[in-house]
Amino acid sequence: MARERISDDASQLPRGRHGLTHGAVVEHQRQRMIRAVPSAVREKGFVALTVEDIASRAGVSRRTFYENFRDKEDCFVTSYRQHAQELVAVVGGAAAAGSDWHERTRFGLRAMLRHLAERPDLVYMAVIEVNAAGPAALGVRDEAVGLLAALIGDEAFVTAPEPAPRLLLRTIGGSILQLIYASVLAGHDRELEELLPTIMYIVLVAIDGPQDAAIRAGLLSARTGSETG
Amino acid sequence: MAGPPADRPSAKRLPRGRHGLPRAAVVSNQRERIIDSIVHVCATKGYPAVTVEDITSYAGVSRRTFYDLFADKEQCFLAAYDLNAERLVTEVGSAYAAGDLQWPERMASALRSLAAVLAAEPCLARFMIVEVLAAGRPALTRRDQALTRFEAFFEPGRLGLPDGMDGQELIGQAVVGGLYEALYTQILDGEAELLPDVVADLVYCALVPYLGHRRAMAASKAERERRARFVTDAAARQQPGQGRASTKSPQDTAKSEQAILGAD
Repeated sequence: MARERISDDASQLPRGRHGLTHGAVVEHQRQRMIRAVPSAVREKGFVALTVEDIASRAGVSRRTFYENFRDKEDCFVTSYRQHAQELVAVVGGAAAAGSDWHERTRFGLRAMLRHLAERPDLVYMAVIEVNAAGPAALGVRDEAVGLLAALIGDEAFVTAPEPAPRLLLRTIGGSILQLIYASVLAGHDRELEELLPTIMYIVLVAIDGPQDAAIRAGLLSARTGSETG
Repeated sequence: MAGPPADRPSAKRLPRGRHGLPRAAVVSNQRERIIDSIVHVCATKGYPAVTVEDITSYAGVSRRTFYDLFADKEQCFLAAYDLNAERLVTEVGSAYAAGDLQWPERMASALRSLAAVLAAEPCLARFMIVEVLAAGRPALTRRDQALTRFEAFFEPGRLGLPDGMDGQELIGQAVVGGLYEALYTQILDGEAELLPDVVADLVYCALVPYLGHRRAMAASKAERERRARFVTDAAARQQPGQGRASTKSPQDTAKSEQAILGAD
C-alpha cells in the first residue's frame, strides 16, 4: 500500500508533454489534494488549515483546488471518506483470509494497526480533527466507525446465547480508537501493532471470559492460566 | 442581574426543553456568567464558529469585561473545561464512594451519576464530550488528563483480571475510551437527555473486561431493574392525566436504545 501513496511534490507529474489524457491529469491532481489533507491537518489543525496549505502541498493552484472542491471542509470530507474506505477494504481483505472468527478478527485488526502505523496522520484526522470539520465530516466518521465495528464484531455478538448489548460494539470501537490515539500521541506511531494483544483481549473478553481471552490474546501464557485459574 | 439578557441572539438555538440552567447555576458574577455562556454557545454553534461576541452577548457582558478576564476564546474555553471537569470528577467520585458497596455496584453508581449530570445539562454534555475535541491541542491535553482521572475508578477491577496477565494497565484506558465513544455517539445524536436509559448497557460495557460476561450481565440487569423502578415510581408521582411532564415513556426508552444501538 505504501508505494501507492501519492504525496508531496515527489509524485507530481513531469512538466511539459507527458502523453497523459486531460482526464488522467485532473484525477491525479485531485488525488494529490486528497492525499495532502491528513498531514496538513495534523500539522496545522483543521481550524487553522487553509486552502492554500492543501494546494501547495499538493503542488496545484488555488484555482485547481476550487475546480475540485467547494471549500476545505468539502476536501476534508472527501479525503476522510476515501481514507476510511481504504481502511475498511484493507481490514475486510485481511479478515477474509482467516479460517474462523478469532482468526478473522485478529487478521483484520492487525491489518488495521499496520495500515495506521504507516499513516499516523490519519489517526489525528479520524479521531480529533474530524470534530472541527462540521456535520458532514462527523457523519462520515460515524459511518466508518460503524463499518469497522461491524467488520470486527458482528459475527460474534449476534450468535451469543444471551447476547451482549449491541452498545458493546461501539464501546469496543471506542476502546480501539483510544488505544491507537494515545499511542500516536505518545509518539509510538510505529509500534501500533504492539496494541494487538490488548485489543484482541477487549474484543474477546465478552465471549471467552477474562482467563481464556487473555490466553487467546497472548497476554497470559496457557500454563500460567491453568495454574492460577 | 439574575440571568442573561432576553435578547441574546443565540438563545433561540438552545435545545428545546430543559437546557441545564438550574436556578442555583444562574450566576451572579461575570466570570461565571462568561463560563456558563461559552458552554452554551459552543454547544449550539460549535467551538470553531463561536466568536467572543457570541460569548459576551449571551453572557450579557461587555467585550472589555471579557478581555479583562480572559486572553481569548481559547483561554475562556479552557477555564470552562477545567471548572466543569473538576465538577464532574467530584460528582462521579462521590457517587462512586457512597455507601458500603462492592466495586461493580460502585461503578454502576458512578455511571448513573455521570449520565444524570449529562442528561440534566445537554449543553454541558456537548461541551465536555464533543466540543473539547474541536477546541485545539491544549483542550485535547486537558481532555486526556480528565480521562486519566476517570481511569482511577477502574483500578479495583484489576482484581478480576487473571493473575499474571500482561498489559493490565492498558485495560482501564481502553474501557474509558470505550465509554467515551458511547457517550459521544449519543450526545452527537442530540440524545444526551436519554442517557439514563442506557446506563445499564454502559455498566455491562464497563465491567465485562474485568468480570466477564455473566457477572457483567448480572450487574447490568440489576441496573436495568433499578431504572425501571425509578421510571415507574416517577410516573406514579404524576397526577393521572398529567402525563405531559412525565419521565420517559416506553416509546422514548425504545427510541433511545434504537438511537444508540442502531447506529450501524
